[in-house]
Amino acid sequence: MTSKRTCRRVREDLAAYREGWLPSARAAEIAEHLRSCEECSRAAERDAAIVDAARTLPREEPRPITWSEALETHRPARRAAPRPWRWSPALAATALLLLALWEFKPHTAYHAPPPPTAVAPAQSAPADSGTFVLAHASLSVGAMQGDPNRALLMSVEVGTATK
Amino acid sequence: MSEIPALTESSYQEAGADAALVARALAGDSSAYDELFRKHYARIYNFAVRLTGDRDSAEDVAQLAFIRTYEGLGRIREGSTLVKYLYRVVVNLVRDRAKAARRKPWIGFVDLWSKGSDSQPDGDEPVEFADAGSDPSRIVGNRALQSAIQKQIAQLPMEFREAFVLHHIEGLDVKQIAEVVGVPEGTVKSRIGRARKRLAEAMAPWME
Repeated sequence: MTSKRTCRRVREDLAAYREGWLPSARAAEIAEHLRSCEECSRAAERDAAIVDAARTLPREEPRPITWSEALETHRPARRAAPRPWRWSPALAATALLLLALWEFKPHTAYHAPPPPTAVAPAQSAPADSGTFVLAHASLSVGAMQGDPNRALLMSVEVGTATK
Repeated sequence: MSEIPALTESSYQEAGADAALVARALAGDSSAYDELFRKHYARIYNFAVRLTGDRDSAEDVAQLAFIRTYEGLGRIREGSTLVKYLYRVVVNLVRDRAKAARRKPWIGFVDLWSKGSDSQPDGDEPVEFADAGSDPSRIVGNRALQSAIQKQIAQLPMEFREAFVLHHIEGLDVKQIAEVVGVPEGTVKSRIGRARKRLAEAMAPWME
């Protein structure tokens, strides 16, 4: 009595059976099954034919090459300098990340103005240092208001007033 | 075309000669490794062809295997033959390439027999046999059957392909295959059995 399940299990073990890798009890079961099952018997014949064909496969003739030629062909490629472009995606991603962090960092910290620096009076500056400071302060105010003419005018007015 | 001689006991008797050449190469005799290359290159190339299914890849793999073996010549243990070492390097190189091909499917292995070799059938259609009949033994010698089998071998999962090719084409026994592919002997037997079952199923249309 054979069932599909028995046949499936026999075919799974067919190669091991034919190679002599199975325990004797299992090998005897399969031998018995093959005597009574035509399908599995044909599968065993196919297996034998495939193994025989594989053993006698034609040999591929390689292109003739010597050891030194093979070495020459592959050495430069294997010892090539590292290719930095391979890292370019990672570098670009890092640069973008740093840029994003810089752009979106919170600007809540108080930035103290730079400490005042002493300005040495120029040769042509008025002798009166108070006049010099006032003239420059008015220039700055004008510049801050975005009107250079006004700044110039203010500095002139200050200069006139102090004379 | 000639048949591939199996790696039998007599072949292993050559291991002593190989060991002497390896010793000479290690001592700085550049002609010794040249001789080893000439002696084994065709076998290693053929093994690579069976695994990759592509002649250009096989050439590349076989030559790289010799270079890697040369670089690791001092590591070849006593009792381990040079040929087994070369097989192991080929297996590793082909696995690496298969992994790379999975990551970049557009540079996958090219089907050897779709390139239009005059002795190989094109396409996936079953090959027509003249007077093949129903007796498989009558079509074993048929080159069309052999080319169909080569094609099916190239489509086996890599671990099944390695075991099948090493056992049935290269002639290694289970213990030697276990050393080459780095798995227990039971796993090798299981892989050979499963490879044969798959081949038998795939080849059924050719052999009915």
